[in-house]
Amino acid sequence: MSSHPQPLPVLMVVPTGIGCTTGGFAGDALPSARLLAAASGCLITHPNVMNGAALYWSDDRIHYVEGYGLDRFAAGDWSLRPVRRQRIGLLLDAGIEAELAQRQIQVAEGCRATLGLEIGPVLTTDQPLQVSLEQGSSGVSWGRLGCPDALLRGGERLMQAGATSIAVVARFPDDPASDALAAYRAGSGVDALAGAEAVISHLLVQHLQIPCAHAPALAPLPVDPQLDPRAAGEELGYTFLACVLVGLSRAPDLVEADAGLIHSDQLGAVVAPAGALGGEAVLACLERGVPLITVANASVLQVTAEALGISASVVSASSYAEAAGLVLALREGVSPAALQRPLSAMKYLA
Amino acid sequence: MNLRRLDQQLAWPDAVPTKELREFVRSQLQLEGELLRWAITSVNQDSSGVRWLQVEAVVQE
Repeated sequence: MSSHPQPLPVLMVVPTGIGCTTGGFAGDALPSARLLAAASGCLITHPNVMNGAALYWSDDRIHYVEGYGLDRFAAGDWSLRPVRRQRIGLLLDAGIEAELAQRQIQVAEGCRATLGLEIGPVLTTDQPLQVSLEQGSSGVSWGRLGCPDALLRGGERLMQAGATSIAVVARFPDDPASDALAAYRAGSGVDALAGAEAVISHLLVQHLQIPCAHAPALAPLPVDPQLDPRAAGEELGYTFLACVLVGLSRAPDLVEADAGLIHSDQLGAVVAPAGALGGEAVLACLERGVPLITVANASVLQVTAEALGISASVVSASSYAEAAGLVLALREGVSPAALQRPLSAMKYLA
Repeated sequence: MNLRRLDQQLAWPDAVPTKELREFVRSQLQLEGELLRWAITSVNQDSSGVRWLQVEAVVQE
């Protein structure tokens, strides 16, 4: 075998708003994504994994695909076409106060000047989006928009004006005294904003079929000396926008199934938290026979391989480091079973 | 357009294997509206052996 095996496309999913120990905070699954990208040579993952507010990482081997697009990709409805750059339209919620909106625009200007990104035009929605936060019976965060049509109208106008991807910033309700926020900043609980963020970006991607991602606009929080390091990326500046702009700047185009270069039938594995196997992307991979590597990564969910009756066909990893080793084994053509002891018995057909 | 959040239980029929679970859930939820985002958030079995899926979703109306 060549010493440089071909990349093995791998899908990494850390569902948004379920309180994962790794990936439930400010882009804190990013080191794991970098390792999986190095092991696979081609990692497809979503903004919740990559977005660290003021912190980000750019890697040609990582393809930044918003969750709705990721689901359609995994299901084989869409494929991915890598690009050199995207022209990012910036959509600001009319509900953002003038000073906070100016902060967003200055981040965009900074990304143009310092990182060389192509950003613009900028548009403010014709009505406030009216974001509200909710929680499901499981403890997962969700949310809604009072004016979803205003979001879609804004996205359409930006696309008509030449944007090939869209960064949207919506005003989220401030709740600095809430128990949920205190728990999140202390390193436990669920990111209360994440579910609503996913709804916003899903809606745009579903409607426009171009890369889109969301950053919330919030008033700055008072300094917390006990802040968990995993949440620290969100407290380094006035906005959460820089990571979104960097991620979108080279996000692949979302194209019809036969028009792209990366297809779900090329996937060599899907990597997901062991208790969060009930999302559409993972179920679509199961449907298509993509090998599933589950990782011990606690959350509020317990939708495990055992609960789904698929324990025998899943490879379990105790960490993302172990998962990366398993991905590398698959890429090199080494059976993961050969790395386990005791070695399982061969099956004989009667 | 309105967005509506769903939080409901679906009986998981024995005849539906895990490989067909995605299509099964989609077909059930699509009765409520156009699907935007969804997930199975728990799987339980009752005393009579019926498996239940807790499903949370946002649909468009």
